[in-house]
Amino acid sequence: MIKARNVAFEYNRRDNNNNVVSIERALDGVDFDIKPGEFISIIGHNGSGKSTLAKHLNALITPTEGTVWVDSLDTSDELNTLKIRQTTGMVFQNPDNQIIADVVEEDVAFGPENMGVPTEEIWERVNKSLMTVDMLERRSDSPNHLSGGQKQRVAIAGVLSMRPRCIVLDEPTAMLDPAGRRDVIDAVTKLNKKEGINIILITHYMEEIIHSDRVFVMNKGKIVMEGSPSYIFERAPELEEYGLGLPAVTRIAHILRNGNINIPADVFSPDELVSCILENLRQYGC
Amino acid sequence: MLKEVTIGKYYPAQSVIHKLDPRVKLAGTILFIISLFPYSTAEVYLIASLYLALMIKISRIPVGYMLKGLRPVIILIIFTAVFSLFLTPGIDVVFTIGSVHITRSGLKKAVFMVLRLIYLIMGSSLLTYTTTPNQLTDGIEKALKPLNRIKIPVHEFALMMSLSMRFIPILMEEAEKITKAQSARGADFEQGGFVKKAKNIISIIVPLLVSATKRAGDLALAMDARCYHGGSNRTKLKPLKYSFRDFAGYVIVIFYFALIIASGQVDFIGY
Amino acid sequence: MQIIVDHLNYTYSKGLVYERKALDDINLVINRGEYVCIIGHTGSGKSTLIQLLDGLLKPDSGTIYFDGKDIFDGDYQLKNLCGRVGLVFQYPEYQLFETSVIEDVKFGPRNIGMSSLDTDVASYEALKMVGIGDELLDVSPLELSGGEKRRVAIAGILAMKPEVIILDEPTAGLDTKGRNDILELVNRLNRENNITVILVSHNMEDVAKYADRVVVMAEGKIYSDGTPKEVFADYRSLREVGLDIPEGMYIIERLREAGIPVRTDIMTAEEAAAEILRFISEES
Repeated sequence: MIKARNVAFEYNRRDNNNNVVSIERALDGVDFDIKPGEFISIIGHNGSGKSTLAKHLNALITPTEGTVWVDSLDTSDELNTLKIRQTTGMVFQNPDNQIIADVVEEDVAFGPENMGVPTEEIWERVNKSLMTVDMLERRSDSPNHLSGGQKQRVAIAGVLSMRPRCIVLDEPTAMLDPAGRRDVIDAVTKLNKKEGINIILITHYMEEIIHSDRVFVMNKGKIVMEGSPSYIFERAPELEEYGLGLPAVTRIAHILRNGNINIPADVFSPDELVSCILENLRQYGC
Repeated sequence: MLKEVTIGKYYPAQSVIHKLDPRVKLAGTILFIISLFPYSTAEVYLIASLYLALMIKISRIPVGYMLKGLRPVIILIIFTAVFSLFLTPGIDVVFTIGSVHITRSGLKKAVFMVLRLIYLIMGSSLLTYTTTPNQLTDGIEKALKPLNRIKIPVHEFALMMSLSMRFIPILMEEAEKITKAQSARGADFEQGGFVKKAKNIISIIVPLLVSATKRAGDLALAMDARCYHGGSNRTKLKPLKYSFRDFAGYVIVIFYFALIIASGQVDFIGY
Repeated sequence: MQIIVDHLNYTYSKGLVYERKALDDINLVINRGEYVCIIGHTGSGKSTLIQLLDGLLKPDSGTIYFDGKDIFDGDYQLKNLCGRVGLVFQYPEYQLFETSVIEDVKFGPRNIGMSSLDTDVASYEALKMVGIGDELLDVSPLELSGGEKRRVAIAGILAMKPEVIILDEPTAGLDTKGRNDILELVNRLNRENNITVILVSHNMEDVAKYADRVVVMAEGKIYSDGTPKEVFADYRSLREVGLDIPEGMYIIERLREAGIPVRTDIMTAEEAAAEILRFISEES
């Protein structure tokens, strides 16, 4: 679905007088293959290059070196740009700065309108997209009256209406409260599991990666670790080196495992952990 | 305070006027405003009043809400009245207060000026109350489309308008937030000398500009990501199409205008 | 008793269709040197309360006493209050506007009438306190990283030498390192400089780790008030107002409900894990 080979991205850092002070390498030799239907999480601290990488997947920026292919289309070829943007949709961090229209349904229609989809079909797509993210009843509202989590779900609907096969979400929950974060992550997970849409979730909240098939950890423009969430969670010291901490449940599970308590590697939620501990206690006969 | 201004805000209701094509409403509003100017006669204003009252009735917008829209301009209305009342010269003095003469023509002028102003505001408010900003921009875009041929970027202009409508409330809220944040740092926006006040205002303007620039950049990126490529080959979720109702609307608007012109020619009561 | 909130009421958009009661008869006492966390669902009234504490909003009724003085009394110099009660808004980096970091920090102290020398010293010290090095003093604030900007904004408040500092979600949007930097800084201000801290947070782990006291707000009222342990003990009622408790404490509570007599004086995930290990090893 998406393939990257030896991707590097450089930009010039300028001072107040617009003189180039230094050349920063935001991405440095990135390689990966993403298969259709996969749910990928990309984590890393601020400035690790994860947002720069995200923008490459949508041809919003193109690599300085190396190549990115989306559905075997080279993103550096401008003729492919529109096609690529229909294949991979993009949701950004700030919910306010990506909603264009001041009525929910009209915003969701913006993508298909640009693509020249006939009116009746736009309606169909808008209805279905809003239904998928559970925002149908707010269709005639102004986005300004919605909560952050709701706005972000409208933004997801706005991408869904373009019928993409892949959605890249660039820190979609960074500005939301816990309830909003949960709603957005639930919506994204549902899209992947039910609709089979490729998800690439960029985040620095470790607890949000648990639904993904694979996790990329980024540091200094490179992918430094890659594997399933449980594989990643087992490597706490390494993660700490990259400025990442583990969620509480995982930390507890980790300590218990080190104390020779049997906790399976894929236990991520507090309730699962409680049942696991109780199961252990039962085996010890108390 | 800003929340109390009702001019330009949409008032959701189910009415024929709400459902009319925005182009009909635009034409109607423009003709109504024009109709208020050429004649200052009782007949003309009687017709205009009846017409406006009828339209408000049909639009199902509460009269109280319409009147509330006048509140921000009440001072302007009073000024207009006072100026025309006292400053209209003439010999037909009706009565005198001290050294000020109130003339018959001054009285007449004051009444018509005030009515004109009120109707102007009510008429244009009726347009914005019954038309969402988006319909309005769509209407303007479509009505001005012929200008595209002489290379006037109508689509871009319309897009700019609708983006402003979305972002003005956001930026206003942000300005309020920044004002509070700077107040929390001791900035005083009311007292102090000119230099200090100017400095304090800069402390709001600069962050607001920085944020607006960032928002604009983000927005451009988001629009790019959603395949925006200008006005060509775009379809619409809600395309404007005339229906029978709209033609009827045009007929009524034109009939009204003709009536005004006709009655303006005849001066029954004879001022 | 440094701050006394007395029957405070506040309504948004009074007299309009959008009228909404934001604070409903709030009574609260905050003592000198306390580290208080205010938690609550979005829209519970937290932000309104902290703005009132800084005198930025006027209540409908009720009042706030700071050091025994009624801050909404006509004679009270509200301008002096903002120096003594420093309020750091959410995403405070938006307020940076000067051409250099040090100039921006000086804005507050200058406004409250500190002498030029005191301003210079206080601003420099504040920047040191938040860990901004000398090499960044003359840089434009816009060129800093997100975490640095936030720390400069906090320094802008600290330079006014406040006795109380109120922070509205100071870690929002930061990564792990940025968050830890800020939380450690706030903790130091409280423990070492004896500044009273009022922190609004959504992160229950942080609340459990740092706060002396937790105030829970829901629908404009104070829902509960006590030590983290007291407040978090009743996770079911917290859930009703849309709040979670720290996961370590939650696991301990659930184990106790299942009849496992683990100790309950647990705050952090690490303590919870240690207690579970202790219990299992003793039992087996």
